[in-house]
Amino acid sequence: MKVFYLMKHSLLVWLALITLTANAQTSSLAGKVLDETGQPLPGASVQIKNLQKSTTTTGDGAYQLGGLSNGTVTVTVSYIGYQSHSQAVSIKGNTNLNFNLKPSAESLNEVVVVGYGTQTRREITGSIAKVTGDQIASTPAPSFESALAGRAAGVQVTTGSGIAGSSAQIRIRGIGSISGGGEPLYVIDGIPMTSDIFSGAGANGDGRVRAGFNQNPLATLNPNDIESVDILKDAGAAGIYGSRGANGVILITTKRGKAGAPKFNFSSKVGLSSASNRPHYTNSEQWLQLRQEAWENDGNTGLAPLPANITWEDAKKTNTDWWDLTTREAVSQDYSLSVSGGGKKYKAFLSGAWNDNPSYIVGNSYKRLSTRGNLDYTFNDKLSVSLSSSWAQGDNQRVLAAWAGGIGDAMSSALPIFPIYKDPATNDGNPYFFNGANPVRSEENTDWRTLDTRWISNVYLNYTPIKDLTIRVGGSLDYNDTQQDRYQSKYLIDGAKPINGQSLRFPVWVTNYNTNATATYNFKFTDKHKFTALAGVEYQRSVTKQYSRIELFGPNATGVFYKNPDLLDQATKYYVNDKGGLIAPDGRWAFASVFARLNYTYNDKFVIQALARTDGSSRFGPNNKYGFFPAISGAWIASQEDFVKSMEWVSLLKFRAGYGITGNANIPSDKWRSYYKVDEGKYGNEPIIYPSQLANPDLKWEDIRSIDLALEYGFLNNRITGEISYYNKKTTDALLNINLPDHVGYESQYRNLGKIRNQGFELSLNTKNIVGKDFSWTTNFNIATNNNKILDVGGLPSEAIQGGTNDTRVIVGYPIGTNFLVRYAGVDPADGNPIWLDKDGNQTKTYSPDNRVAAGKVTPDFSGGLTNTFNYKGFEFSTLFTFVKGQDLWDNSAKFQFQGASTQNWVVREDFFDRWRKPGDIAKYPRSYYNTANGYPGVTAQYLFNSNMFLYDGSYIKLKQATIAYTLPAEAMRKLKLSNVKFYLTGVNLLTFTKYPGGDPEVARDYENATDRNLSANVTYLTPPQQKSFILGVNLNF
Amino acid sequence: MKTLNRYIFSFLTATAVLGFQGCEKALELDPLGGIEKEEVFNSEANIKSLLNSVYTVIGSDKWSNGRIPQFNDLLGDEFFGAQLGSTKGEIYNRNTSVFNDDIKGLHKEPYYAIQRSNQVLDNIGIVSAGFKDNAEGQAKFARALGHFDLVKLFAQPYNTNTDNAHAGIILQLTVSVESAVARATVKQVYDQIILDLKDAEAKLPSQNGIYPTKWAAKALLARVYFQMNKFTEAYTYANDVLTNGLNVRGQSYAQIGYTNLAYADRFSVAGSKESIFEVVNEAGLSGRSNSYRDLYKSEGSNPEMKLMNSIYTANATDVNDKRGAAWYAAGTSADWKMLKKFDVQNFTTTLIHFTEMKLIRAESAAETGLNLPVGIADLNDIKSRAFGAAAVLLPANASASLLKDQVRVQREKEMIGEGDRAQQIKRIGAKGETSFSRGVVWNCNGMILQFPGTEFNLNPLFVKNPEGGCN
Repeated sequence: MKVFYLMKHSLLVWLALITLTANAQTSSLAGKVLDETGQPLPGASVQIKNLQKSTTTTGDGAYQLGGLSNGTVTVTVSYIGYQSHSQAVSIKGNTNLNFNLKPSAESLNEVVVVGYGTQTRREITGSIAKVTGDQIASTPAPSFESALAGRAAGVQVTTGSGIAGSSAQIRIRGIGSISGGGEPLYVIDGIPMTSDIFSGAGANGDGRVRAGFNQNPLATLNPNDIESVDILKDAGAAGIYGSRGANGVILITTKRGKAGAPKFNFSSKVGLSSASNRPHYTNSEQWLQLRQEAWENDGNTGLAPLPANITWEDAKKTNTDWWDLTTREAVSQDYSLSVSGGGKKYKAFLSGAWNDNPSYIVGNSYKRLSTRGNLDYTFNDKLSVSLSSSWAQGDNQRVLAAWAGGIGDAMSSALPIFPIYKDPATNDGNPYFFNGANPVRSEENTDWRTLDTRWISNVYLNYTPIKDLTIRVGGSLDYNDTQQDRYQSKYLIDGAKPINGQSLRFPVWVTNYNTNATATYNFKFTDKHKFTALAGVEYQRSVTKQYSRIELFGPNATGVFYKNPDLLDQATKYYVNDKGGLIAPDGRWAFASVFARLNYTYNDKFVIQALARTDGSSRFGPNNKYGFFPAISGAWIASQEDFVKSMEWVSLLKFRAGYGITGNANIPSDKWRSYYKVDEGKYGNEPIIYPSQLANPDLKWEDIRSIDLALEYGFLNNRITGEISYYNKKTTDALLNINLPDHVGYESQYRNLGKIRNQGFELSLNTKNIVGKDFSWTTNFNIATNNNKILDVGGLPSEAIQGGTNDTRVIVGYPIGTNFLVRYAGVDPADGNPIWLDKDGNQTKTYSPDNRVAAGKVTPDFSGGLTNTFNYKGFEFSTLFTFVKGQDLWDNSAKFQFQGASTQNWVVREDFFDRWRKPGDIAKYPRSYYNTANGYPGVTAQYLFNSNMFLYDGSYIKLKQATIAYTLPAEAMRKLKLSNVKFYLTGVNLLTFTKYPGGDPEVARDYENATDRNLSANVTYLTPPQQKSFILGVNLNF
Repeated sequence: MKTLNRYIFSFLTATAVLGFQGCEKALELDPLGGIEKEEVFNSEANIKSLLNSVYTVIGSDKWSNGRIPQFNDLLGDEFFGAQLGSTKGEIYNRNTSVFNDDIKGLHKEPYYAIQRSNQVLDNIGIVSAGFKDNAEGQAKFARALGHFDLVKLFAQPYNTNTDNAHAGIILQLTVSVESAVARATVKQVYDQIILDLKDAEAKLPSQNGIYPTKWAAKALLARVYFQMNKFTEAYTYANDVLTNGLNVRGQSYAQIGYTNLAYADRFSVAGSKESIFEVVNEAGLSGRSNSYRDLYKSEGSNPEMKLMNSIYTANATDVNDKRGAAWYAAGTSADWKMLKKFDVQNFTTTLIHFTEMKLIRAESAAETGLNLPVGIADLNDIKSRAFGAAAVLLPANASASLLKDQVRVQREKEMIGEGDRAQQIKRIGAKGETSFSRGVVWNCNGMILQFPGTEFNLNPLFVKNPEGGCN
């Protein structure tokens, strides 16, 4: 609460400053500008163009224009996001008139944020989807990008897991990369921000990637601060980002101050969350029974051996429910306060928020404290400055998950026959059972926190030396300090004879700075020919400093560093580069760019835009240091033509086409050089030098040529609006990380070898089904198809490409992420052995990896979202369904859960109980066995048992969100001296319709490299399911 | 205001001009990941460091400190692997596949050392006369060790066919990144190993700190010849080492007090007095040898490498045999027992020792029928060390075949956990004797490992091993 108090006071000081500068006014025409609900619109522009008189509304929406003579004038009122309104007004003395503006979501004059500026909808020739800040803030999600799910066509968002602080996987118009990063570029208020989930991983993989999930650097952003998110999807839009635009660009615009008296917003949420879908496993008795059955199936007699030296007697007495012990119902809280206001010269937006989001996994939470100050100051007609600054701290209490243990163990190797505690006297001094997985032991003996402190600031100077020419010079700094501390006690480190603890710190500091300068010139020859020209230069550099680790190991390691800073004195520091420095070879990169854009509008009907960018980057090899990325696009606004205007039911018809080249420079830094690593004192206290990387001086960006064709439409006075589009993107020079043959003595090398095509259709449809005074119903629907095909991989066999941990492969002629598996045809009732299909589809009873075929794919045929909103008086009810169809889900852990009673020693998932037991049985799954040697003919090991037995239909429909909200009537609010009060109850992940038996079908593994992330979009390996949560909230404006 | 405007205009112009000019420089970032090739090969100190790095590879968990002894032992008949799943289970069940990641790691590792050795040899010209022979000797020793450890696991043994023209492994003798290389024959591989070791023998000094010596090269030659069933040469080299050789610490066999040497000495922190070649463990590092220890240790009573009950009974139940108490632990399981041999933390990894030389010399004597008294004395030394006064010594007039049988028994007891047994089964089989490992014949398909996909995916000339295990 102390924080609140401080925040409130600092806000008041700012407000005092702002209000001091507010102006006095004269009178002649006065009134208010209001929105469709009667709420005032502060900062709206009111103009009498022919008299060159203009003003903006104050905080309560009021305006005054003085010095007018009686007569009729044309008043134009405009406001961002609303349709401009022009009206003839007859002035008689002091005239009073209010204006009501209508929202302009579909209007051609809506302002859309594009790279390095804004354009009106009319001028846009590329594919851009917009998601409003309200939509994002109202969606409870681990991080803002998760809230984009189902909101925009062609933007597939997969919230991978229920772990607090984890990331979502976003793919815009399919996957165009194999070993290059497939994530979009995130740009916040004009600055490409640090968003790499592998960032800080360093040369040796330390840092963020640990514990089975990647920490998400975007999670520090407060969703309540976001004004809008604009997603640039094609070359016509994203081309201005050149070598970094190929995977799409997500432009985040934060809220800025609006002129007028201070307006406060306070919102608070409290929620309850649990696992969305719980997988079910054997209890102790069932497990022992399966074990014995497997043992006897092998032809053995007597009792089966049990793992970890457990006796049958003890096993029967134990029945530990590890899932229960590792999960909980968690209570989340969120408080956010902001104020916006300003005068003629100043505008300010200030905010502070605190959020505590614990997950349903015991010990796991993400807390965020964030503040923001966005200030605009106008010196004079020619010069203004805008400053945006945010500071946030994310405190992530972490737990092991997935393959790393913790809840992952509860889903795998923590058997119900394992006890939690033991008598230290008979257990080598350890109070915990340690001869097998024990997630309670790991949770209770681990103290693990990642503290992200992030400061993103930028300042822009806008200078207008002559009319219609704006020069904008800016600089920004995105600084992130990540301190990851992990302590594991002696009971976890040692097991037997516990002596040694381990305290670790992984500090990572990312400094990302950017400077750019642009000049924008608007000119027109006549009213028919309008031009906007933009030219700019930009330089960006990012440096990641880190220690490989700071470690204290031994009896002195008794606690976590952040609580025991004195322990740091005894710890050893390990460096990431050979010269004892803190910057890893791949820890820095730079881009230097020149770009230009020309937008030409003819008669408000035809628009042509040409743009080009040249990027140089430290990531590219010396033979390909600079890349050139042009794009051309155009639009015809047919609804401006008279013959269309005559059709009254048509409100908007706009055809768009674009072609361009963009690049993907999301490739690891420094991979083009040759290296010999130097380590001091590594053998016999003498230094070692060894070759570590082969040079590839030709290394370059991935090149994507894309075509976009679209129709934007609006019918029946824009009650039906939307867009239909087709895209075709062809990637050439796709980066592949090639495994070099062992005898060469090097690990791998990046080469630009692949060709990939993505094509598809997108449809968005927004309808106002019922528009009444008290009741309204609107629907927003979007759907997108994607057809992905690998055209070439330079003749390499798929196994030569690194990644593919999850039995998805790169196969020419098939999509990225093709499941390469042996097909399962059922069980032979005679002997319980599986029947397989060979390559030609003939049945065989011998398993062979040679019979693997493209048996499925983890990317969908189509995906989308459906939002319905019903309003009745003050009540609003809305639902968001998301859906995905045509993708397979590869459960890489199921093959172990399936034969968990074998020497695998895993829990067995309940759906695998339907197994063959005796001759004549008709069963879904084959017989169990104890030792693989007595398993199915041809299967050499459980981990190689890769068949489509574990490939599921990953299609689903999800009720992602349902909200019921109530806004107090205006009358009641006036009494409370509030301008708006809204209460709501939201449910997230409430219903899932799926055929997948293993939990939540919206799932993603987290990986250590981009290849796996691209290839295995819909793959699970013990990934904990997402959260289901209920949130009660209140939103106050005053 | 005018001044301000002028200032801004100048600033913008300057930014633009400097921006373009500085472009090139702004994108050239210093190399940080180490040093570039030219810098490496311009000083002898760097060559020394490059050579030094070879031992971190030999001592890695994927080679001598784990997988080489373990995978050999999994193929042998002393360890209980019925509860092993996954990659290790595949090896134990003698049915390995191209996907086995553990085998991939093991197969790649020696080639790192070989590549580095070749780089040293390619640049030997810059090494001063005082160190040149030593450097060349070390590089060839490491290259031979790498090829030898690989050929034993990935190819059928020497003498499988009379001409030994069956497929061996890829011999990498130059610095090359050429992908397409065919497997050499087993004969070519062994010829090259011997050539390298003889060079090493000639060029390495008698004492060389922690690095291989002339005696290490000779001892390895004894092992190689013995593996080839070339007993005359094996005898000669083992005899030379035992008669004239020095251990890592500069002591001769005669000086170490062999029969009184405690068994805890073999894998000890200070290093063994028996050790002719070893991998050191760095002070402060969290244990180079711990990866080896973790596989076999009795601590925690649940090692991955569990000993068969029958081997325990045979080797550890004679109370007079000091090795029983020193190296074995019964534990509580009815199904298996454990080794204590590798229980010490941070031990120095002894790779070639005097006992092995004695075993080679004794068995070679028995095989050739020459120098039998020497062989009998070797066997009796080993027994005396183990049983003290209770030792039942072999009489001086014992037959060659009795000597051979008894040496083989002692070999199993001495070399347990050191990855020796499987190779003896193969060697004996290749020699023409009946030889089985856990019921399967010494040269069935599964007794050698399948190559990992990483080797042949990009190598069209490569022919994989036949699959189908030993069934």
